Amino acid sequence: MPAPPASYEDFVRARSTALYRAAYLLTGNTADAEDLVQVALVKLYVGWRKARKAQSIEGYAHRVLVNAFISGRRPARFTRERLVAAPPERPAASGDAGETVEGLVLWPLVRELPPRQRAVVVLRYLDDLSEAEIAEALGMAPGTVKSTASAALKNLRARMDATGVER
Amino acid sequence: MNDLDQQLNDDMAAVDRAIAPPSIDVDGLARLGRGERRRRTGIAVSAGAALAVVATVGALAVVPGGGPSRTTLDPAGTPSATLPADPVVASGDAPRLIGGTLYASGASYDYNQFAFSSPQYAAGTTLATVRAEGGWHVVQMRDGVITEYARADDRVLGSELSADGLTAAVQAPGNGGDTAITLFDVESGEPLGTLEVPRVEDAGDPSLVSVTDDRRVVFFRDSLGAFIWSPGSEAVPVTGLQGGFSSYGGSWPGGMATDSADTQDTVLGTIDAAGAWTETYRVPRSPDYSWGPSGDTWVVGGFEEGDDNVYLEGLDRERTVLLTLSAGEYVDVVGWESATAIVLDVEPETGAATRMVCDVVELDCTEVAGR
Repeated sequence: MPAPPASYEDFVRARSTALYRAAYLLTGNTADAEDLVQVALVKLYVGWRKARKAQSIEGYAHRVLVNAFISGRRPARFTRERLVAAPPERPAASGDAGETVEGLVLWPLVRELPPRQRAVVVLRYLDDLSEAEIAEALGMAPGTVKSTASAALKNLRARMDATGVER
Repeated sequence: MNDLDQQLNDDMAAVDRAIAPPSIDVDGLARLGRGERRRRTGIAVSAGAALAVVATVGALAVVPGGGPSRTTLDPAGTPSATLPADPVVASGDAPRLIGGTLYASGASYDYNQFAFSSPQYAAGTTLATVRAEGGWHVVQMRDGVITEYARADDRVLGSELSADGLTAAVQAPGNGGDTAITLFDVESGEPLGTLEVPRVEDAGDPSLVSVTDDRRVVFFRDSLGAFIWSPGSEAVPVTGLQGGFSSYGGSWPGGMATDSADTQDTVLGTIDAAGAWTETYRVPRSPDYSWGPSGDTWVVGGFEEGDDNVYLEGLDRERTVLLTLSAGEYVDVVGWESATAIVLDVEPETGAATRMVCDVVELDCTEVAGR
């Protein structure tokens, strides 16, 4: 087992990019992704003692991030300033990285899924997590993961049919 | 893998490659985190607030031998700190963090920053791990007396307080890279015993999980699992945990709380002298349970959107409204004053928090006078 990071700061320096990517794929735009990852990392700071007791700090942080996304609640006590050291290079005016990539047919439909379904799709198809791992990350029963994934795929197929996207 | 699966994989990977992550301001995040933690246990000082004086540092008494160094500070000496009198006078025992000083039980302690935990408070005792002049310190504040249990120059210390507020566990650097865990009797400040935990490659430093009211310590080592120790005996591994556990969920007054890897529950159980675990209850997993001293009730905020209630909930899952917040308010639990009284800070979106003491039998909350 790798040694845990010595400090919160070390962890953030090492893993915040990965968390931001996950936040982006969950929210679908840069502004919300920055907001979400900030909320998650502040919560992680507050809960750092508990995070260090977890088997995987990254797993713990991931769970905080996804749960913050699903809950959709931004605790009022968190300052809303954006903590970026420099203005990010935004890949598109709308803040959607997907708009700079040609040929994407499913991404726009994924963005329209309800939060919990989108989270399951991101964890399954981007992070390649198993049902058990997704259940752990989302705090739901494995059976619920299965039914949520099924609903998400059914939803996507219906949207593909409605928009004329070929399967 | 069918076509839809493949398309999803391809699209997600393509978007992932196109993402340009911003540069994260790590120091800024830590600053926000510290502010958040301060807000959980302290109250902002309003500008121009009147000042009162409390006495702090006096004679030092170093306890020799074995465990971490311990220094008792008699508060009857020279006044060395001031604090605002109104609206944030530090009357009462529960801790407050104001302008770089921890106030509790009529005494004060200057600090630079807290370790990764807020001060713990139970039944008149405050226990805190802080970074202050001279390195990291574990300090107790009770009955107006500050007791420093340990200090270290470069290693963060750990501390845990029992639910009844009568026993403290302190984790400190031991000999040759080992870790020393010492139990203290809170009322006398005297050590009850010290366990030297040898350094084991890849096992990480031990991490304190909980201190039971019957004066046993549960600690966790990354790859070795959980152990329980009481003074006068050897530490023994905790055995019988069924189904694997993703993390150790922390203190529960009846024993230990863990997070099950198989279900989405927090599992509560007792541990006998031989380390055998017996599951007693399962409750929905939550990042924070503010357990009452008896271990059968807790206080929790409403999770659903629009639910502004703070509930008292029992192991039988019966829940009763303890307090209703106004829009935008949050509540932070400071600690349990007794088996029937809990200290809360109600925090508005902006401005100073209001400290409340709630009687969980009468379901009646009172704003602490003078705040």
